[in-house]
Amino acid sequence: MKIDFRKTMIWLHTYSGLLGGWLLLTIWTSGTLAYYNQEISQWMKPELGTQESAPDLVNKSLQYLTQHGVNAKQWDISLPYQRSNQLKVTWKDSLKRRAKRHSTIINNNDLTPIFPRETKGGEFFRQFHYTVHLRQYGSRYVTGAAAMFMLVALFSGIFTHRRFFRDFFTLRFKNMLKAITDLHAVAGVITIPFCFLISLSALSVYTDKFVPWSMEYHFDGGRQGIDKHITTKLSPIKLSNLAAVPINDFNHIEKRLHDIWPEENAIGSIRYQYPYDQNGRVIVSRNERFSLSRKKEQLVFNPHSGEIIETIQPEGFVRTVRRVLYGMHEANFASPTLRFFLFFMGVSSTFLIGSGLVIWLNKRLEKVKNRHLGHTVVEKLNISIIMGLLIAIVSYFYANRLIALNAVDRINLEINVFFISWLMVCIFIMCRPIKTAWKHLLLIAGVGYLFLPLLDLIINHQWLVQSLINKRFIYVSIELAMIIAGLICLAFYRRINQKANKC
Amino acid sequence: MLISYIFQLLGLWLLSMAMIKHFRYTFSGQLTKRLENTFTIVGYSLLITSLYLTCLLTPLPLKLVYWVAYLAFNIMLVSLFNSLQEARKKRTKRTR
Repeated sequence: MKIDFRKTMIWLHTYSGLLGGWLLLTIWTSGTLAYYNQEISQWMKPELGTQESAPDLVNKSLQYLTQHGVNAKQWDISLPYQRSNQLKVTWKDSLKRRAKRHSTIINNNDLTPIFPRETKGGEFFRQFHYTVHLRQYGSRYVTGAAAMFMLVALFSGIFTHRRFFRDFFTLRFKNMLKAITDLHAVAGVITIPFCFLISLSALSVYTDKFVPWSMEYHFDGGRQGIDKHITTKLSPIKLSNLAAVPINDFNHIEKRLHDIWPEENAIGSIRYQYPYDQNGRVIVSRNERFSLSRKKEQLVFNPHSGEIIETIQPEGFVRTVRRVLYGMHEANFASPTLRFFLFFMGVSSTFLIGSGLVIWLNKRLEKVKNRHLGHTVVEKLNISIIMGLLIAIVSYFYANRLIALNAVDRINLEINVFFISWLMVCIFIMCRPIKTAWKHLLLIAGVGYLFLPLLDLIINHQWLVQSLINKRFIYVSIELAMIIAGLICLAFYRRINQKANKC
Repeated sequence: MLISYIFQLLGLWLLSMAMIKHFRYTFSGQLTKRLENTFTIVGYSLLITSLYLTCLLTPLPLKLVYWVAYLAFNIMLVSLFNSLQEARKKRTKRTR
């Protein structure tokens, strides 16, 4: 029998999409949110306020560290920038990796420490999207498998929807299923480069985990061995054991830096190693937004003379390709406009996966009179994942606002709320008829997202007022995003309700 | 970058207008073969010009990422615009 290539591709697209779909949806939803991880963190720590950027922040930080990090072996200064208004100083008593760190977020103006609420913030979504909260249980293999499923679904999808260029720019909103199918096709086309890049870069990041044998064969110690060979690092510091007074004026280094990195806010972070030794050094890292690569550009200065004493050597081609792919995956280089577009593509890809799952079921239900167990399982899983995630995310935000600030282990409590609310949605779906499950859950999610900004106003309206006065729009933008998400959920609810009433 | 963005949007819109199903909801006349060819050629030219303008900017890799991101957004924008046109036209027809 002759094998029909296209039919095989359709089969592959259908089942790779279906089997990997639920996991992919979870990963892509959290990954899309991770594009705004810093902004979400800032929104989740409203105590940070919307302080205006003050001048001379490095010198102020050095002043703070001189007072508090006495005899420390390392000082770190993380400067605020467009996406985060935190001025964070850290000091360590030893350069060892696991040495105790003392971190404080300080006020830009009066150098008083700020104590924001304990939360994982947007970082939770970033970590969840590549670990699925299974860090000790082979999480990278799970997410790697998902990336492979995505690549298979992507390429087989090109053969499956071969007419998509003819159907370009076509959206039929009259019928719900047609609208979803059209949006699936359009989203599929527009996100091809994005999905390809994200899946490929995800795989390239963990190549060493998926195919470790070659490395283990050629290098002693496998991954560590290859890292030693191809990663360029700064040379280890040689101590003089002669005491020195740490610098508290960074201006002479800043002037030199300006000639090399002339951009505004070019400095991302500053590390001062052995400030109390005469051979101490200052390592300045360039802000990540100036490079596609994830490799930090660093310059090493003599703290006293301001001379450059070392630069980090460029890495080989293959390593650079991996770094660029990693950098493009994380998109730290993106300006607010580009970040928005990437977020838009993330949302489109998530919709692509979700709509694919819904289409699979509805196309089959159209053909059969009585649904069988498989249909019910798929439908319940679809609702559990799509609506479960939407509700779990909003619950996580509510937990951030409602759990007492002094609660013990507050960070994990917030995360537990995320998973418990997801579980509750699953139980709800098991107990309720499928026909009404979409409707009810959409209503709950819609109201949940819409009420959240209102809750913020009730808790402390100054957060919004200060954000508007200081023209720091991160807080306002996230509140707006909540309202939009709520309205979209309610629009879908209305549409489903109308359809149900007609029937 | 803004000019490149506008060129890209216009190019995509013209390419969509080269299809009869979109043309009839935006214009009242018939889509002739000549008009279709004109829309296609001008549409592609604008897209290429937009890409060329992007290539003039630095850093190039970053600007190309912008171009591809804009492309995705603009396709969605044109699709939404066309479907709104269709809905509007159908509504007008029904009220008549």
